[in-house]
Amino acid sequence: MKFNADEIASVLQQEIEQYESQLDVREVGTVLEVGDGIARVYGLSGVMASEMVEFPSGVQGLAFNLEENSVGVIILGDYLEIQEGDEVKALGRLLSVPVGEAVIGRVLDPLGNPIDGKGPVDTNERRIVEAMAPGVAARQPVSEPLQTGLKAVDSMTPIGRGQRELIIGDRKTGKTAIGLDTILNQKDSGVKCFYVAIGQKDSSVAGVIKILEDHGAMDYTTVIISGASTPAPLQYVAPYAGTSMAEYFMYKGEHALIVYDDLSKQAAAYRELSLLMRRPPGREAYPGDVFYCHSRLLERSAKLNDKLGGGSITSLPIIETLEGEVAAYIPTNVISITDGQIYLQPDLFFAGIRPAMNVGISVSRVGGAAQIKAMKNVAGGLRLDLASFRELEAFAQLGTDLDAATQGQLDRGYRMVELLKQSQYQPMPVAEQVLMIYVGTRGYLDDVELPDVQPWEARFLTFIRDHKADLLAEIVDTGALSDELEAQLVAAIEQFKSADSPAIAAVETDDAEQDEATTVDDQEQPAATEES
Amino acid sequence: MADNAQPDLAYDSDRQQLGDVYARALLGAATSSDSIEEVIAQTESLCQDLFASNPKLKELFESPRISHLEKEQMLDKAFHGRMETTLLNFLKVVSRHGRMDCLPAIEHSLREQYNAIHGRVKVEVTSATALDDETRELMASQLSSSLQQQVELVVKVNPDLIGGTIVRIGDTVYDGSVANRLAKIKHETRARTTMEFQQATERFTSAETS
Repeated sequence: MKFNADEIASVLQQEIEQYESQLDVREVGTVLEVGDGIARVYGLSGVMASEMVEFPSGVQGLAFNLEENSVGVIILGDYLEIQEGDEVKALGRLLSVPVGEAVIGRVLDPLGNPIDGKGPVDTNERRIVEAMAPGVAARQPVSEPLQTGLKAVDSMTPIGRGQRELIIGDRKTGKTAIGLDTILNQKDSGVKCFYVAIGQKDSSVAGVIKILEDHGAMDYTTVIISGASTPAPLQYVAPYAGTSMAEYFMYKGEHALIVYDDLSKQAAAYRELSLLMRRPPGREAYPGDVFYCHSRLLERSAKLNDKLGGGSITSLPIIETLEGEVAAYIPTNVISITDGQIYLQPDLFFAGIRPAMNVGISVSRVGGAAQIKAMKNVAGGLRLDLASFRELEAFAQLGTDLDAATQGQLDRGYRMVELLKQSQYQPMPVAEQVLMIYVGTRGYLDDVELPDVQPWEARFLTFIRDHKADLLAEIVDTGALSDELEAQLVAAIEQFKSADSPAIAAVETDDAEQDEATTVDDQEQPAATEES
Repeated sequence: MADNAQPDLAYDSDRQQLGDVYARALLGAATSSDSIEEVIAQTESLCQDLFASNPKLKELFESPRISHLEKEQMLDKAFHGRMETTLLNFLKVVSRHGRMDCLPAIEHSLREQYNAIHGRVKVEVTSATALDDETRELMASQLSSSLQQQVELVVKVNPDLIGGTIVRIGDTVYDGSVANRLAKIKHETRARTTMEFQQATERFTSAETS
């Protein structure tokens, strides 16, 4: 390949010929002090809130605080090059990021600059970062399911497109894993995925990108990173930037999924900024508007009405709790904003129940509206059954003799818990989930030994895929479980059970739990007491 | 940049706020005694000549260890008869309130407020080479007529501009310098060329692979 010098020269010449000499008029101020990602500026008398400003080094900032005598600016970039006395120029526009199909498959920083070394983001479209959420008239109720591919989530706390479902739990309880599995499961659903990493170790983000690439998920995913070493202003802006990129697809009538990992770090970054700006601290030293900071972000996840194309943004914000303390400030805030939460518990996690979801206090406020009929049918009473099982289990530990009915209920419960375990990065199609939950709740597993439940599941699914694929297809097509279908299903189960021997299928699930188990060493011991 | 940055470094927003209030009071008092020009000139001289050459004197007046009574006596001894009475009284008031440290801010604000009242505006003109008197006057009269205000011209020279001038009125900068235009051309050409490259990579490369 050879460069054509004439062509390049002609472009430059055109540019110079078209260049009109215009007087450059700008509004300026002077840096009074700078440090820790913020600058205080004297002047800029006409600057407006959230307007962008530019420093001589080319670094940009946002007018964050407008005071009587000075302007507080948050610096989006390297603040070490800025000096006291530098001239600051108001740009007269708002912060925006590049959006469009070109951002898919890319790894970007919160300003939309590529950091994956794959060249510039090829798009001319931009959206402002602090866009307003759609209003009441622009929305419609959530009705379409967003399959996470996790049996426990899809059956008991179903997520709909346009819903905000919080994932909350202590560190190392598999929060990111749920978000990741959900992204992996969107492979053929046409849902565009956005993973926003805020204040995380760059090594763990690199791990996440590797997993997404290995599973072919980067074809429909964008990763937005502001790592632990990036200045607080960028960490604060990152989720808004990610949402703007997702909104492009929502307003085009498509569906998007966005995972904020995690919002407690963003709240901490916002607290840092606010304290540096000398805004008064409130509870836990967070500023008074930290609630608004999260509510205006999560309000932008919506299901638009059909007139606007019916697009949606589903969001999975992640919140890290300390020692299971859900009553802390940020967790209660985000719980009250979202449409439900998946609560992950360390003791369940270490007991091998993964995903470590506490069924009793995990809810989805959209509920059955976001499930296919067949799933609603089979999983209807599952949540309550499991909750009563937990109670019974605690009671049974007292060592009293149990009658046969109670023992039966307990055995069923143990098998359901076993059945809801799922390996990481192995999302399950919804039809198979329906089958397995049907098998479990209708008692077809009661005669299977407890350790054999997962191998049995693998063998059964192989059998169904090989011999009864039409059953799965019909569940997918109709979305419902008709009496006729149910009869066929029962027949298939009977047929499998009569022919089943443990040697039939190779085990495919057992390599599951070791992925996360490696990190157990540096954990504190989980609470020994059983929680109901 | 470096030369005009110096005075701003001393800017202190809290003191400036106090300075504005005291300056307004001094202007009011001086207007009623018809000695405005004199008072302003003397304040400027006090801060720029006396305090600048005798920093110890400044420290003395600012020090909270020296009582107001002593300061008052010193003020009387040093300035009585040589200074407008209004200004001397004003200094005593400032001293009684323990705000002598705000004096530079007061001085700064005094001139600004006086200009604002009389429809005068300070315009900073930076050029690549020193301007001759004729150009200066022409500029001042042109600016005065377009701004409809009396213009007080502050002229600076910065060879880095290459050519043209930069005019600064308040916080607004009108940049007609050659350096800025060159920077703009550079930026735009670069942006345009990258865009062209992105849109049609093959246009810039010939087919042969030698």
